Amino acid sequence: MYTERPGAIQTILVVDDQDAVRGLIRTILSSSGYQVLEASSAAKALSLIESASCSIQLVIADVMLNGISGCELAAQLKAKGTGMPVLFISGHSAEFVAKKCPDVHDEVFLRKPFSPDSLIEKVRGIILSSTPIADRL
Amino acid sequence: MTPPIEASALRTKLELDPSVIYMLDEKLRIVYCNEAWDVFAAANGGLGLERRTLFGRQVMDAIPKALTLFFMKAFGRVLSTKESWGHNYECSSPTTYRSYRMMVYPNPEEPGLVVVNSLIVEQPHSLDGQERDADGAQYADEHGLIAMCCQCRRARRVREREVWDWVPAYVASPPGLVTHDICPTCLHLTYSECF
Repeated sequence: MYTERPGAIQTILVVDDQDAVRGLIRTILSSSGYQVLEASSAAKALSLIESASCSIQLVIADVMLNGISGCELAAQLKAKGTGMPVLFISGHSAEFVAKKCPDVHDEVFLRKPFSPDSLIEKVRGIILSSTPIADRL
Repeated sequence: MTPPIEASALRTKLELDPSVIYMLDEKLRIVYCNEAWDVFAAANGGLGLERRTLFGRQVMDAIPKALTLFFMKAFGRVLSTKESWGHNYECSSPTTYRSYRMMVYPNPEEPGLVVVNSLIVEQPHSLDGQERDADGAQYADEHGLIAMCCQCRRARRVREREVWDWVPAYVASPPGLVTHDICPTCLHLTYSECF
């Protein structure tokens, strides 16, 4: 089983326009040892990514954001070649969201409300699958 | 002298919710009511029904006999399954029609239940049966986004951000631009272990 290497703090960027949701995710992730960055919009997230002094292992993005959507944010990150995986969150079902956002599928989607365990499980799974095998050893 | 209301993190949050909320123990005795209970009682001539006078009383004594079996089963199911349950009901006075959304949650702090009663509509009987209008101006922000709680599905008012309403029209047919938030009551009922 893969476990995070000791001392390797992983950084996650949470993008959601709702303060309560961002705060909840920050609390859950911080208690599991992750460093959390926050942005209330996709535009702020892109700016933060440009200026971040640390590497970001995962972006958690609400699908429905004012301005640039979570889907468009993921597309921009892909186009820039950042290699950052995105976990999409929404109160809608994955099927509903996938109609508007083809990149969404079960492995990278979590429906609100979610349990702390399901969030951590999803985060670990995505970070693991996006980590080169050599780096997991 | 009436006993003080015991404080807890959850109760502190529930005091701020304008919905009438009460807690029941495992034997369905009232162990807590929030301030909105007293506000409702005072506004409706409920002299002598202040919340402190209700603690320890069996909630089934306040429910019409014809409905006690229904609520016994519903409350029992939430106690045993730990899954929330909800339904709509009418609670009118001789002059005013009122309907409410009741959500029943397992109490995360102690054995028992938390019952949240959100007003759907309050109006003179001459307008009976008409539900709260899906008033976009009341719920949509400057970008047209409507914030709904992803747990209880209440919608947040734009100008009174602490007020979350049950809007049947939004639940029956979700508006196009919804952003899913979580209301303070659900945040503390659902994620109490995080705080």
